Amino acid sequence: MMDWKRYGKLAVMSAAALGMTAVLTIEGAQAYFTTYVSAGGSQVVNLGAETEIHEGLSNMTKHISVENASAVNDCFVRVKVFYGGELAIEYAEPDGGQNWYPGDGGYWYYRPILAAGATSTVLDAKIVLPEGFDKDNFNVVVIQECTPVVYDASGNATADWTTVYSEYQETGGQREGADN
Amino acid sequence: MRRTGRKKKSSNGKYVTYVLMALAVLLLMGSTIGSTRAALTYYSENYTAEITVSQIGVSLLENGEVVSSRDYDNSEWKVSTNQGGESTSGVLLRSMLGEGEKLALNKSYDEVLTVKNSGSIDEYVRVRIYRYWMKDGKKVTTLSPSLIDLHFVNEGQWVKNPDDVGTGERECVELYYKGILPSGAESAAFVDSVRIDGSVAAEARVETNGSTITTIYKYDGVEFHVDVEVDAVQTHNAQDAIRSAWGVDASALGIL
Repeated sequence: MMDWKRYGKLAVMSAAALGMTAVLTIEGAQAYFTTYVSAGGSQVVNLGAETEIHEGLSNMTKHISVENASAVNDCFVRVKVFYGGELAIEYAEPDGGQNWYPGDGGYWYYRPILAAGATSTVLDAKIVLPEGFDKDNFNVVVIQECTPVVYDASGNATADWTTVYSEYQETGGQREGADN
Repeated sequence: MRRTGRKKKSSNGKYVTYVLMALAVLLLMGSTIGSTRAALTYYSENYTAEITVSQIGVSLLENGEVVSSRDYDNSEWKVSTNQGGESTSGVLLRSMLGEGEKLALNKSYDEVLTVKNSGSIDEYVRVRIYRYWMKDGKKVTTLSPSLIDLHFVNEGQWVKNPDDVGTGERECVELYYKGILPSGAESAAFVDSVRIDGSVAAEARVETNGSTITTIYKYDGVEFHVDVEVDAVQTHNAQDAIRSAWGVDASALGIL
């Protein structure tokens, strides 16, 4: 039969010594070499467009141009001329340029990217009236649209005219017209 | 007679105590000597033998330039970043756009991210990539992180955390470098480009004022953020070291 009173001190001291040894051993096993680095960055996504159509009229010809009034964002623009069925429109660029071309949906597309603050070259729309038509009573309406510059899979700047915006606040028209 | 017997037993007990104490002290001294042994340098008349202390180090590179590094050298941590000064974190995306260039949607910009072992010992490496949106100092949670399209490459070399696979919506992506990254070596890239998805511009309203049309986008002025953390751990006793440092089973991940 063990005499706990007599060997108690011995047992406690031995346990303490073993405990200290164990602690030192554990500390050695956990000291792995590690290191780390970090870095971070950001860029602002500026969105938003503001375009203004400019129209002049002389000799039954509308001189159409579009200004990108945005201070930041470039865009692509297109225009469309609406008129009565009995009228005809002849398009031309006064300076012989080839910046405008007819495309889908009856629109005329401005080929270059319209940089922020820049104005497009002029597209002339000559109104051809039928014989005996009342020159003081007809409407020719020009609308303009713009879309942000995006890139295709090949990395080429392109316009996505199929984008349908989700209104996030209030419903608004996407088109603006100017009456003659 | 009884008294003499008790005295004998008592002195025996004390003797055993002293012997055990002496053993315990020897054990303690032995374990301490084990820890300091690595610092021993031996000199002799004709030769000098030096033991190099293990120096771990790691660097993050962006498009070939060191962005941030932290190396253990001469018993101290040497931290350097492309911010300079006291900064402990580097800057990414600083050269993404040229002078006067504007961020274009859907356009891929070069963003080659690699890791270099800048220490003197081999190591295992893990990276964590965080991508998120901020506006006016607050995190934007209505925009998906996946619209920040980081193009992950070398997926055979960089093993994705199995929990992240197929969940492109997650803000954090965790990648483990498969195998050892030797001292001085640079890893294969884990990202090579970044692209902002055009659908960030999907929500807009249009206002007309005379002959002027203004398109106001919901997320105009939003910032995209990319943060990268790189962790490295020793290769010695790798299984336990990785479990201790990163909390993962390296064998199960297949990176050993």
